[in-house]
Amino acid sequence: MKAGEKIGAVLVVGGGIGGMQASLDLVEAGFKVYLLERSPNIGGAMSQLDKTFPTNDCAMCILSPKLVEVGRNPNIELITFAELLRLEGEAGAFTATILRHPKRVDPLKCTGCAICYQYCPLEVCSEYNEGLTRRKAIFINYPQAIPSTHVIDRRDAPCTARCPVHLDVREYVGAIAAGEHARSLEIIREKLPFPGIIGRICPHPCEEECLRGTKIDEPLSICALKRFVADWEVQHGKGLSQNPPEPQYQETVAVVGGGPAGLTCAHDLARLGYGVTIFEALPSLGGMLRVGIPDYRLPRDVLDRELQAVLDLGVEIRTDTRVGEDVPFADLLGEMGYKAVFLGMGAHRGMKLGVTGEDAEGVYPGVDFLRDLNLGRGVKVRGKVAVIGGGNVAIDAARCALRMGAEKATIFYRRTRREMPASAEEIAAALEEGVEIRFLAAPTRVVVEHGLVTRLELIRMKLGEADATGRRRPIPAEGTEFTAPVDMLIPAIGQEVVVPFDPAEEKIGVTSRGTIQVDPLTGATTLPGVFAGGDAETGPGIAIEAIAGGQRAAISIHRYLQGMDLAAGREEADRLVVEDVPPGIPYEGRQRGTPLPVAERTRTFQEVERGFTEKEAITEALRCLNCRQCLGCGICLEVCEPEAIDYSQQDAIMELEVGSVILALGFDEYDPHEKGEYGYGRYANVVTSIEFERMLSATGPFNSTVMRPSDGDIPQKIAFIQCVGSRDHEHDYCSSVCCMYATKEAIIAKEHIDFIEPTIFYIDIRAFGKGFDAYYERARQEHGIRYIRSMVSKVREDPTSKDLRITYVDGEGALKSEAFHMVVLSVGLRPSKGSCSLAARLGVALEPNGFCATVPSAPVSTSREGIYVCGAFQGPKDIPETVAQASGAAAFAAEPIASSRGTLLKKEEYPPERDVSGEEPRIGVFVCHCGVNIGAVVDVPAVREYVKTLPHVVYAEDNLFTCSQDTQERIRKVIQEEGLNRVVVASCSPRTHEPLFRQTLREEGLNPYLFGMANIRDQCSWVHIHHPEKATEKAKALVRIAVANAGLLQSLPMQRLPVRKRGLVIGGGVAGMTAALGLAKQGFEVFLVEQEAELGGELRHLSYTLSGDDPRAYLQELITQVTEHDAIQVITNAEVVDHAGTVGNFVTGIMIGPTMTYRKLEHGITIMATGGEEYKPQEYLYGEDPRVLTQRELEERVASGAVDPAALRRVVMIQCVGSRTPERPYCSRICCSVAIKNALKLKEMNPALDVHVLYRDIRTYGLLEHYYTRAREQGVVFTPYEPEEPPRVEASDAGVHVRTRDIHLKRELSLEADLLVLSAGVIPRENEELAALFKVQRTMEGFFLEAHMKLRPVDFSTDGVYLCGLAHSPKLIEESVSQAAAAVARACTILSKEELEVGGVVARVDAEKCAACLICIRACPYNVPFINEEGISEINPALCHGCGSCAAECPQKAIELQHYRDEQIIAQVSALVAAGGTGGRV
Amino acid sequence: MKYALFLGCTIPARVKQYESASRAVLKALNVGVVDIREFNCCGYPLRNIDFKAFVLLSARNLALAERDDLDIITLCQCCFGSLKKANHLLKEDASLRNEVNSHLEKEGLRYQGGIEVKHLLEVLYHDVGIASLQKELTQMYEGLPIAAHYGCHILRPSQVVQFDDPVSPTIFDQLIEITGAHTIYWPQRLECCGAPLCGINDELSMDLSKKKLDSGRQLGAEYVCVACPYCHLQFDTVQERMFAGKQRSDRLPSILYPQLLGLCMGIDEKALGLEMNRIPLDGIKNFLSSRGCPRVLSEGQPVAQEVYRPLGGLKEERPVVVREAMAQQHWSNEMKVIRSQDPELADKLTRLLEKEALLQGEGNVYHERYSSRQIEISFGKIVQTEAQRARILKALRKGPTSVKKLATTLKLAPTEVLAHIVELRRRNRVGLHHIEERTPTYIALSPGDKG
Repeated sequence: MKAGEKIGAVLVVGGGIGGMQASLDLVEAGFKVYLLERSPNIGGAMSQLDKTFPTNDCAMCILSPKLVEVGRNPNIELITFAELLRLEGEAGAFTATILRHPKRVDPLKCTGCAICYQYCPLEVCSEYNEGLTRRKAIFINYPQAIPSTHVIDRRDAPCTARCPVHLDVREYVGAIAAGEHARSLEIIREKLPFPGIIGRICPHPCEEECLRGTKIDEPLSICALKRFVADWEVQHGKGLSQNPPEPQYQETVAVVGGGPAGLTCAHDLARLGYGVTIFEALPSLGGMLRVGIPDYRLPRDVLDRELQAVLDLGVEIRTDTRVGEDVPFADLLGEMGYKAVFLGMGAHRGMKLGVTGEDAEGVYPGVDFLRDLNLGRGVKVRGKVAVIGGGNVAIDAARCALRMGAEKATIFYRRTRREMPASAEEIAAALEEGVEIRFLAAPTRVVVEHGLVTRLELIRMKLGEADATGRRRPIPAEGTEFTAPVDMLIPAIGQEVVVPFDPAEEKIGVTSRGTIQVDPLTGATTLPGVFAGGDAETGPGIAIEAIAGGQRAAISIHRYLQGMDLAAGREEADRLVVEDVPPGIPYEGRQRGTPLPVAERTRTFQEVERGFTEKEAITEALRCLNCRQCLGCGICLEVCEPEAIDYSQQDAIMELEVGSVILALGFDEYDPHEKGEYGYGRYANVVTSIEFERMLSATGPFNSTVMRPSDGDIPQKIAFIQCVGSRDHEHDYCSSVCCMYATKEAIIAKEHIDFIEPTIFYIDIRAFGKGFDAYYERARQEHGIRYIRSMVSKVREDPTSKDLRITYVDGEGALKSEAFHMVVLSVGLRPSKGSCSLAARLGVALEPNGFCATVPSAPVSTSREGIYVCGAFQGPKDIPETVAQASGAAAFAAEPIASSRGTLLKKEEYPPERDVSGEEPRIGVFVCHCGVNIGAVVDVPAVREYVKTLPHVVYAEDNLFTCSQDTQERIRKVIQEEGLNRVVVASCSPRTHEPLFRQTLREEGLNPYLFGMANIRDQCSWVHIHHPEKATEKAKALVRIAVANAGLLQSLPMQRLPVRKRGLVIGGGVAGMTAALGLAKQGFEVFLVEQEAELGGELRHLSYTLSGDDPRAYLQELITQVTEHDAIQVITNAEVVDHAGTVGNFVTGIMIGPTMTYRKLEHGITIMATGGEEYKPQEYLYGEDPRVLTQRELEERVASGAVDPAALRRVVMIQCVGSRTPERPYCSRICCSVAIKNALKLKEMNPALDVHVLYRDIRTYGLLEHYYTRAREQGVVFTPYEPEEPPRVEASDAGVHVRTRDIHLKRELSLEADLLVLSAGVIPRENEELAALFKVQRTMEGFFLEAHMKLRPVDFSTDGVYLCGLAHSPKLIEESVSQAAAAVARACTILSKEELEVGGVVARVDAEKCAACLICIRACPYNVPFINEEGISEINPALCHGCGSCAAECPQKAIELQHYRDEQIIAQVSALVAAGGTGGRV
Repeated sequence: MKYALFLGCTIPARVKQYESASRAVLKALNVGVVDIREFNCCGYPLRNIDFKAFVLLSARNLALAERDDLDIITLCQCCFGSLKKANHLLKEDASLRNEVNSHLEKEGLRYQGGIEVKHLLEVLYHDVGIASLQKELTQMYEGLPIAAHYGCHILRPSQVVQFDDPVSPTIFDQLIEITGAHTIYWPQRLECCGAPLCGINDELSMDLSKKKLDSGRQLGAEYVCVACPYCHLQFDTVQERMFAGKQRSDRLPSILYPQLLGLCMGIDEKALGLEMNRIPLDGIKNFLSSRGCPRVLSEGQPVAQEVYRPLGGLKEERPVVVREAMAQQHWSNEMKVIRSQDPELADKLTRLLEKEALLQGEGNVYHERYSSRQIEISFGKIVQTEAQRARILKALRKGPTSVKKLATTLKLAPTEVLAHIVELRRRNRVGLHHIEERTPTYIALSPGDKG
């Protein structure tokens, strides 16, 4: 590749619906896609859903074709069970480093027979069913999963994963539990030479992760158990003496520093058979272990004994030898002949306080104090000792000082206990022993008299905002200085590494913190042959990390000396850990041991912790849960016939070259364990919404009959509690989807079992999306779902019935208490686990809640160029918005690499088509259960058996999901085996699924038109849900018709038509301009047609935004870019007057300007961005009284100065003016945030101003919630009103008088306002004629209607025409921008192609019969037929839309529509009526 | 074990039996108590009025105990909460301690932060220990349902008092259950007793008590057990007043924990002050029996039978059992049941059990060697789960039945049965039969049947 050349490939991270959509758009637009997914399968959260709102489509049914499409696309490379580690390079040419977790099953060999699943003995929690069912250790999430290979996700125990040296905790603890202490020690020593030391002093990060502690009671006492076995060995006289290993290698290694890092490195190398010399500056070995840790924590004999283990390996020791002073560093690799060096110097120099007087006598830096004490250098302690600092050194110094006879030991720390870095146990022990700790105090001066310290001057601190470490920063409080009498001062505020030679001179790089710069993977410094680890690398750290550093270096040194690659195979991402505990573990606290009594310890250095007795140790070890996700029993290997199992697979690293990256990381649900008041985890019948969703699902635990977990009864009364984990102090955002999914779940539950009575407790119902409010109203009015506006504060269980009692305030303000059979917590969305660390690795900025930070003008661009974002990772959102944003991200990601389009694509190859024209029809029929969608109503096996009796049917079977990938494979196999030449599927709608099955036929060499479909779901099981027998009869009839038709199906030829690579964008607002610019940047020409004289649309009316950006500057910038772009022709003052052609070849006529000049535009695609406008209110005296304004008018007047907030006393705003009314039954979505924006602006300009907002529901969804919180903090008053009782408005001289009933206070509120501001809704611009011209659909409210609410949010049903912006529905600027980008991405899937395949279903003229009567010419809406030179009608198949009008009109029957020939229609009708006693009426 | 007994003001004045019962119990347990006559108010009444005055009052008590080198034991939870909070603050914040000490020094006192404050329940649970308590019992209750009222200050603020899980505590239940009584599952157990509002809003106060007592009664409790004088007053004196005033038709007598325990230890009723309770406690003696008490076992009988249970039920001690190759014999009963219902599955499981030696010897496919304990925990769960499922299948062969009925028959929790039914339906071994009212019933299917 040449420098500067872009890579025509995109890495999409996250295989949910967002990632899948982005991948499909990109691949269609000519880019290679790598789709990376953390879990073993793609599909994401949507695959867990039962139905989707507001259409109640089955989620799996609409997702499955997409899954298959992604799975079978040769240019989308699926990389599942993998993580993105790093991204190097820059936009256009990145190198992505990816870690693939081992699946332990070879996908090339696995046939998906699931024998392994049947034999695997271990059941673990099924994440897919939210823990409601169990799965095996070898598994696949659901039958349609892509890829379909089973996986063994063997995971580490969390303790092992957390341990820096990854000790096999489970194994050695298990051995202790079994009384096999010697073996336990053996297991420990494989990775850790110093169990007795580490078992005493380790701050045990492993215990923080212990599942026993996080899920049941208290963590296992792992550290103390390690110590127990080490001590047990000593007590039982088992020797440590290892014979020194035989030297294996001639090379020798020098280790600088005899601390834990150096000793470990030396130990490991000596065991490998190298000669090692340790150079230690101090008189004895051990480093900080010896000189930093007092005896009472680590007795000398323990230390000496375990260090002896290293010496016993034959390691040479040179103490009192300081490299750099006694031995020049350069000599090590030079004269002395060492082949490699390990630098393991500790952090032995105390940091300075930086106050005057600290060099006086009596000031003893903490590390020096401890070192001199530990080396027996005659340290004297007297009087009052003050220690400065909050770490373990400070605590040790203070505890030692007391033991050395200090009258008093006081620690001064500048923050509070919460921020203290010392371990909690140490702090508690110090306090017990009488150490004083004074918080929030920092020294300002050391007072020295006669050369001696006498007093310390200090200042009190207070805590400010959190700093980079997450701890609150201390700030001096002026005027709070005080003094403390001091005889000895020990500063212990930190240590730094001492490098006794000049690293720069030796070409060894150092960091800004003065530590040695090393490669984190290998420990190699910048000088070949020199490695480092421990404090020298990290600065002061914990011993076990230093040991890990020593081990890492030992491996590297061995590789270095043997000429092997240092880094190969060592890369490691976050380990996968076990996350669930088995049910029913009883509570059992940890063993505590008995420490030395306080009275005995303060005057001696005797060890304080006395360790476990054997009984205590075994009891403690028995508490271990033996966390496992795979037993490793080997049974699956034994039973797998194709021998696909491979346990030896390890993590693998791969590198990819990509031009752009899209992050579609999705979300996690909030864990309601954190909200104890709702009893989740304690009360069986309190479930989360996603668990409930699984219960509703056919593939869930209860086969779609909702049951409550306590006893399997059907819950009649179900309460939904909204906003669990949203809109609270920790989550200042709205999760956007919960109101709608709760409504949907309530409806579906009721549809399944009609006696269920759902109640939804909510704060605001946020039905802000397209069609949502109508859905909500239907739920209330048609389904009788009860909605109660009340925040539930707690749930209580009735112990006998396990019912749940909820106390709430009802609409009348009365306290009510009601029992429910089940409570569903509508849990919020939070950024997915791991997204935070991934963002940090990639250098992508996050907003405060952990979602990806974006700006409104570029809602899919992250802070790093070339990386884009979509879906819930950018902020909570639902499926259509995720899909639209994913397409938008695809457009943005394609932009910088547009020049490399198509360079990396593989062509799709189909086998040559089989000629079936002469063959007798051989029909295969596949009847679908569609989970329970069809199967629960229609007797599918009966239909299958019936089908077998039909003529020409040679094969019939039924499938759970006919659309799944494995069934596609099955169909292909059957076609081959049975020699089929026609295929019929009886399932759902051809609108969604026909292309999928046709593709399958093509892959097997059959013409796609040899396929027929019977819709037995929509037309049988859905509409006749209560009449299963009749539905079954009707299904038989429909299949009979389809089969009769199938016998007559013919192969139809396709034609190739070149594409006009030019787009037409109608509408010059922000959406239209963004779309035009997007197309242009992708290298396509664009006509941008605007009705008005200038560009800008609605954006022209905006003066400021909530986020503080300048919308005017943004508009100006956008207009400049559009007008100056060479590929864009802006045509203003223009109107569309006619339109013809088909996708790829449209011709649109426009009239321009006052002169009405006509012009024809030829283009391949059309984007409709005709916009919307503010509703002109008829209500509330608007237009009658000048003090009544709309929000837009207010904004303009405030910006222009025409309204001066300082001169106002009170402003009242009324929400939902012209929205959510019978005439316009939709929510205008943006008015709540606009009102809050204006309210905040007014408050900013005049804080004393009284602002009242009268509302129905405040709908500040997603991250906008933050502004609602801020408005309330600023004192804006929000008062709800009921639609039945809207506010009443009267004008008077004093102002506008507004009266409303406050439903909380239960009384009338009377407000005299200087201004009344109406939040007028958004209405679409006039578009009826345009819709007729382009044959696109509109909603009842006049917005354009997309092809599919969920999965095709910017497509029209008409091919090649797309929509975006306010013309689609009300939305914010950023939403318009991302939707416009989405339209671009969709458009590019056409424009990027050289030619399109057309034809197939077209009208054909029988020249023999044609009388040239011209009727067809008049009938055709597309002006296709013409009378040719021979005087008969001719129809160009490339232009024919296949509507069939001509065929219907032709009086001679000279025209037939292919695929719908008369013969076929007649056969279908005959099949219908020739029931022969088995058919019903249709 | 010796403590300074901090009585506070309410007990000597209004709940004397709490003091006498506690003293008697502690004495029998060999826990020494010392009375410090100079103790003053714990500071609680000033806690929300003048913070420093509160700390000073508490600190003086702490200093007095520290002077005598004693930890404090309290009976009252308000005293406990106050002293504990003050102690927590004084230990951590040397500046506050210095300030307080500057006042205490006027009477020659100083508090260094060297002692602990413990509630009676804490001393019994942590310092004496459940096992030692059990050894002291001469009689035990049989079939006595008790409502355990924890009280608020012993649980909250949890970081300060560090007694038990503030949302789902168990310690008091455990202490009650060692007497042979069983605690009812009482969702109201953590609710307020009503005492804080007594004298401020009597109506509300009584309403709180009433709701709580009513629910305890409804759930089958014979007594409510408390460990705080205020709670006791509310449930004893105030309840009796409500009963007399016909505001309650029924009574749920309150018993102080040392009274409950003392009876089992054979302590004299008078010393326990049973007759000082307003609502008579006489009935409780009917529940006493000497069966199952360690003290009265005849000579030679083992103190406790060690029943080997691989995974242990709730609160059962797990004895240390180390054994060699056990899997096959050990689960033979379970395997028999499984084989009777699903021979194919039994074969699959046998295949696993046969791996025992391999896993303990060479190790598994990842070269991890299992200890016998790990074999037990890994295999046991699997075999027992399948055995339970087999028993469900067996029961279903007798005819359609519901989850709840299965649970009763098989002595399993209904949740467990449901989870097994879910799995058995997935395997097509069980089918939904019928839904009656709200309750589904199931039938066993032969292999090959369609659900």
